[in-house]
This record gives sequence, C-alpha cells and structure tokens, in this order.
Amino acid sequence: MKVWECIVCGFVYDEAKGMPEDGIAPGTRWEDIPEDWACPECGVAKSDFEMMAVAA
Amino acid sequence: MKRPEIKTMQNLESAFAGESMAHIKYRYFAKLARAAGDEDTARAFEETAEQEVEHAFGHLDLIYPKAEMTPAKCLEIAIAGETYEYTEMYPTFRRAAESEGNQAAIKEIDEQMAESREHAERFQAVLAKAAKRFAALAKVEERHANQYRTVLAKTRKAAA
Repeated sequence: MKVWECIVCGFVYDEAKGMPEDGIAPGTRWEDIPEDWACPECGVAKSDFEMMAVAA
Repeated sequence: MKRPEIKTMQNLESAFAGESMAHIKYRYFAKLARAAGDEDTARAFEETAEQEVEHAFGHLDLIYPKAEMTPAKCLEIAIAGETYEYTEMYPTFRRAAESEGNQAAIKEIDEQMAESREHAERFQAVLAKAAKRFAALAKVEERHANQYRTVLAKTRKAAA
C-alpha cells in the first residue's frame, strides 16, 4: 500500500489506513480518491501531494 | 498643513505582525521539542503561544475597530489579502525560487562552490521545494478568496 505526503504541510495519507472520518475507507487507493479532495490540514489540492518512497 | 504620518498605526501593524509570527513560531518550536521528546519545553512554548494570540487580538482591536467592522467588511479585506497572495505574491516568489534554482545549478557546473557538495545540494533542494510550495499555495489561496467571495455574496444578499 502506498503513502502520499502533502508537499506544503507534510500531512500523510496512508492507503492502508484511509481516512474513515472523511468517508475514505481503509485500503482506498490514491487514484480512487476524488480529484477535488484537499489536504485536511492545510487545504492544498490533491495534485500537490507526492508519493513517498517507502523504506524497503 | 500636511497631515503628519501617524507612526503609531504603522507600529500597530508591525506589532501585530510580530505577535502573529511569535505565536506560530512557538507552536512550531513546540512541535520540534515534542518530537525530540522534550514535553516540558513543548508545553512552555504552547502556553506562551496562546498569550501571543491575545496580544495580537489587542492590536487588531485598534487596527480594525469593532464599531467599523461588519462581516461583509471583514470578508472584503480577507478577499483582498488572499487575492494579493495568489495573483502577485506567490507567483513572484515561485519565479524567484525557480530562477535562483536554475542559477545555482549553472553556477555549480561553471565554478567550484565554496561550500561542500552536500551544502550545495541541500540549498538546491530548498529552492526546488520552495518553488513547489509557492505554486501549491497560490492555488489554495485562490480557493480561499473564492470561498470568501461566495460567503460575501450570501452576506450581502441577506443584508439587502
């Protein structure tokens, strides 16, 4: 499962955890999150997240 | 007779800026201290940060007197601020960061950098990250401005 990080504030979206409080079930892939979703901490657009390299 | 410039209004703006920066800086330092395992220092920063907010509110009370402020006026000021950020400030900052990043890259090829390779790379990374963040922030400030415009339209309609 992949992890995505907000490039402005560092908020992390973990595909395995999802965001149930936002209606995003655990296991929801990044591609399946609506494009108008924004960072819950700082409001920047979904397109301003970067995939984090996960330590092997 | 020409009206003398009122230093105190400028000073209030500066004081407000200083208190605001102190508040957020202390909250950031609290985060750093907590991450380093120093809970006492983190709490010390958080306590004073809260007080800086009250100091800032005091200055704002004089800059934006309650008697002169309606919700519509607040929204107009907010829209102006957000619009300045996404139309001028962040685009300008982004171009500067990108330009400086390009110049630094060229310099690194042409001449020996005084600092070590590691410093040079770290500096380049800061410029690149700054440019990306400025671009992202321009977008969200535009969204803020548009949200405020929507609320202002509703507020005006309700008052009409």
